Amino acid sequence: MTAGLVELLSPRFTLHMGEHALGLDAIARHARETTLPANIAGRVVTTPARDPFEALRYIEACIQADALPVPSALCSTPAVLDERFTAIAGDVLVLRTSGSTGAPRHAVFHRDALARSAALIAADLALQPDDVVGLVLPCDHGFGLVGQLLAAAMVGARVQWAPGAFAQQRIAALAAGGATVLAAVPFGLAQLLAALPGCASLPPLRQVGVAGGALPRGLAEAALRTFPRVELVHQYGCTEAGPRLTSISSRNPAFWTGSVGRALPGVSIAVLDPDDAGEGELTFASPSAMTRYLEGAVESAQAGTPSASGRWLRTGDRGSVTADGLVFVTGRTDDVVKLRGEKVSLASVARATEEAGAEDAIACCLPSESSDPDGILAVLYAGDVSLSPRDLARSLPRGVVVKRLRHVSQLPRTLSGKVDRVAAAQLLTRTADDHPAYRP
Amino acid sequence: MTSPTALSAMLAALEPVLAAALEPDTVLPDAPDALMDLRSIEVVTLVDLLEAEFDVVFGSDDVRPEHFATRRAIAERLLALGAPCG
Repeated sequence: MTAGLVELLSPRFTLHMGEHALGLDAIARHARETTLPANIAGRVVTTPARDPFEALRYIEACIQADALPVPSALCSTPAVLDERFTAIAGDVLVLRTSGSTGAPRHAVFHRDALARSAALIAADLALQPDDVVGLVLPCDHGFGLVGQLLAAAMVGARVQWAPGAFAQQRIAALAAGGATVLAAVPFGLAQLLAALPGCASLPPLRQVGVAGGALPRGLAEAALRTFPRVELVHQYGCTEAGPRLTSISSRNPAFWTGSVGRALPGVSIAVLDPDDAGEGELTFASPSAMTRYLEGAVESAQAGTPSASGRWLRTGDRGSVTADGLVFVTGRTDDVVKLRGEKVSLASVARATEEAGAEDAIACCLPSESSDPDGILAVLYAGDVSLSPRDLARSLPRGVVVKRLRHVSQLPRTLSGKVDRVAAAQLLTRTADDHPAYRP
Repeated sequence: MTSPTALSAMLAALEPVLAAALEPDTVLPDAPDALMDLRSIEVVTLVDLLEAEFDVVFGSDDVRPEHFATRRAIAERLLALGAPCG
């Protein structure tokens, strides 16, 4: 029988959820008692949970059942499922990731890769058994599940789940639990900082990790003004990487150059097809990476010779690596943007607008006029229909909303007939009063 | 003092936005003063949608549990922020 994940974790680890303090024995016991729902092919049908206890129980139950969890959304074609998505012993987790085309893909992880990844992150963050890791991230993403929950469990730190719907509630739970370590996506960090002035007490933080998007300098400075003794750690990676590739501390002067840091131990990062400035697509090889996509074989990045860390995989991110190993991320090689920590394909947003009745649509991400570090999602559309942001809400990832939706008689086009993205962004930036093309 | 007519119109305008913002498995009692139990992801979506639909900006003081406790609380906050009522 395969050793369970909980056997790899520190016996000291405890998970605090409200009034409950749960140890590994409780997780293992509940995992044994769990009857995982089976699909028609006899395999597990469930999705990773946002709740940390459910997430751990789920992974452990999958190990004990020697069955791969297959997201229920994929089970509409059971015959195909049976043929293509057979579990391989040791694969214990499937995480959903937005593909660059907007079609989601599902990354499969082996138990050992998860354990390696959690240990690597715990070492990088210097997590200690006496740390209290405040968990505000959902555990159906690699950041919360591996980057916080499993990393803390590896070293035997206490995890304080702080799931409140409002930033003030999360801060109160973090303060009450005595959280010393916190992690958030840039938007979540901005939310927490904005809510702090009205809070009675603050958590005794020593470290705040940020990942899941660019960290604006102004946000980093605001965090350090609020918590002068805190170390900010900007982490970079992607779901397929398991999820972490690089990391950099605010105590490193290079943090303030905008670098996302150097590759973590055992991780290799290379630039595919660099231009004259050394920029190209960032590719990686890591022993913590996914086994494969459920949807099929992993495309090789073909970035030079194979790495000792394994296959080279694409990130879809554009960037460069300096001679001394500092990684800079400058954008995407496709039209994907990061909002609320989620990858959003602008093409899929335009498609969703057209499916809602528009004849033609283009989506952009514009700088926010407020303090939102992500910018805002905006859509320009044409057609004999009047659309509202709520018409598109169901077609977008959770938490992502089209904040600006404007109708024009026709989309701006270049001489070659393609939609003019620059002109579209300009139209979306102007107010309705500025431009005659708008039809109120 | 909020006008009952404006509040009634705002409550009606709020319904389709709530329906779009809530997760499929969130069921809310349909009454202005019934307590709502939103998840964090629903609050994020709802605030963004309300800002987009009603052309208002929620400050951090506006995104507090008491302003999202009931439909009436949300409608009153929207009106206080200057949202057009219907």
